[in-house]
Amino acid sequence: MSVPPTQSADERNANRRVGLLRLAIFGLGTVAIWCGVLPNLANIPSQKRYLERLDEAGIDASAMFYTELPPDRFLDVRPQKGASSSPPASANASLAELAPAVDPAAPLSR
Amino acid sequence: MKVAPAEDILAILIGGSLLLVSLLCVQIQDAPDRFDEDSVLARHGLTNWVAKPGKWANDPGEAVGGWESGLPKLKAVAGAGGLLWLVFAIAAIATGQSLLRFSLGFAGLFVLATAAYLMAGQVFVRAYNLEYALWALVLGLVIANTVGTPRWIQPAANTEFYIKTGLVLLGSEILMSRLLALGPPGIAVAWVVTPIVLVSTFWFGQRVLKMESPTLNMVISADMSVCGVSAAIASAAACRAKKEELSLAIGLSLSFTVIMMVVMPAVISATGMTQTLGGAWMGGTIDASGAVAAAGEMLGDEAAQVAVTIKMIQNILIGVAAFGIAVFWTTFMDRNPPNMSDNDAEPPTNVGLSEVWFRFPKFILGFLAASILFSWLHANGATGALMAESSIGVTKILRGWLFCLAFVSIGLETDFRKLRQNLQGGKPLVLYIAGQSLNLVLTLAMAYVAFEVLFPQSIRLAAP
Repeated sequence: MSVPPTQSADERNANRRVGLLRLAIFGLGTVAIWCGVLPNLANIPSQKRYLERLDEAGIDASAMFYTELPPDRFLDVRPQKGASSSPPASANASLAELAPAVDPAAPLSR
Repeated sequence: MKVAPAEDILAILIGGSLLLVSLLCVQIQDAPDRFDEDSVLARHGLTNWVAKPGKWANDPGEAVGGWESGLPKLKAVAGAGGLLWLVFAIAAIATGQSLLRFSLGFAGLFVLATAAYLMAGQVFVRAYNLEYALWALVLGLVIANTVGTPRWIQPAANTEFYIKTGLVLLGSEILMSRLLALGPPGIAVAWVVTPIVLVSTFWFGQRVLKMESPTLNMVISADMSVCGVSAAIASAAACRAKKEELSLAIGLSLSFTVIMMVVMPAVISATGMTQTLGGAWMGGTIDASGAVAAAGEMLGDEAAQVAVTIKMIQNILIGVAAFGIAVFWTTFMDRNPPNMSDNDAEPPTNVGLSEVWFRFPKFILGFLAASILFSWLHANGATGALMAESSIGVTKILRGWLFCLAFVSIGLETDFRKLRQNLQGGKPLVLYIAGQSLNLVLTLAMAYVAFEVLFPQSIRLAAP
């Protein structure tokens, strides 16, 4: 025995059209905000300075877990700062021994 | 999130295989330099084949390398999708699914996940910690609640499977060897206050607010007290919370994170706190690692380093928390349903060990095993540390994709009305605010005692 449909075909089509229209509005709104509004917000001088400061510090403010931050942000790897200009205090106490995951785009060295 | 032992085992197998492949792709080479003749470097064979879209300012094409250079990163983004498709397609075949239907659905899901990453990568959005998880949820929710989830995408929308596999990969990032990064004061702030806040908030939700759903209570308590989205994912999987509950907890966490990362540096500056105390306070209370780093940077270099180091130690707690929640749920909460009053409740059923084992979310064992293995490797000399770091550098990208796919799936499977039902008259919001208030007070008190009274020299000793 077939169950009678709760909506007629016309109603389903109308609902689908409304749904598609809403999705299209959302899509257009998203593109307008992300490609128009947000780039302009990022260019407001105070925001620009904030973004540049984060960039200079190498901070990804959207990082979910500590491994997504640069290794030299952590205190236990701090002694290695400036290692390229002067020899490390101990050849064994290197950044690589202490650091968490780093950007895989760059080779890691000790 | 239902009990699915076979899925747990598959998640461990897939996560374990990805970790093994990643480790095998690490090449250690001699690279003597002027300071150290024994110096070595590590290269990862998958570096150019696994990526996620990066940041962009004006043109989304910048996220994959820019149009002028021919979008070079697109190949690696597709590579990540291809690798994940391969392992989950094998699992789909093993569980009797149609390969074609799974592949079509996975392709659609991956396109949505890429869109979520692009939305999260815009520099302004990224600077305020509006993570990909939020946009993945939004995209899924909008599609599901406008045109409905397309049938062809459903075979691949397997939230729990992606989350469990992602958590096994996350296990490798929990390096126990870094627990003592700040010595006793770091442990005091991150490992003493956090469990107290977690337990107190859960108790407050159950006894005072009388939350209808203990799983929602636990997920909010964990994400607020431990480390935001990642803790919410781990705790939700450990106590088998509903998808809508995870969405709600993450929405709360991200909203308050944005507020706290702006307000806390201003309050700390206005009250004249030292950078160490302010950094420790923010590290112990702001939910997300990136937001902690950004807020710390607003105060200064020392505050930023103390803050992220405290947050790192707290991040490591996620493994212990997930294991503890899983044990608590299978041995206590499942036996004593909290919705029964003391009068009408039947005596607790005597659940045997075999039943406890059946109910236990076994992927947690894979999560812990990955953590132990990588902690051991990381502590095992310079070469071991290099191998672990190089491997994590690639698997953290795959873990991100898995969580992103999971959040798109959650959105696609969620009805707005169900999400509203979970608001329970504002109780989750009250729970979050009450728990976070306790967290702010206790963390400040402990940070003051630990860094200013008991171990005032600790930071100078750690960073000469």
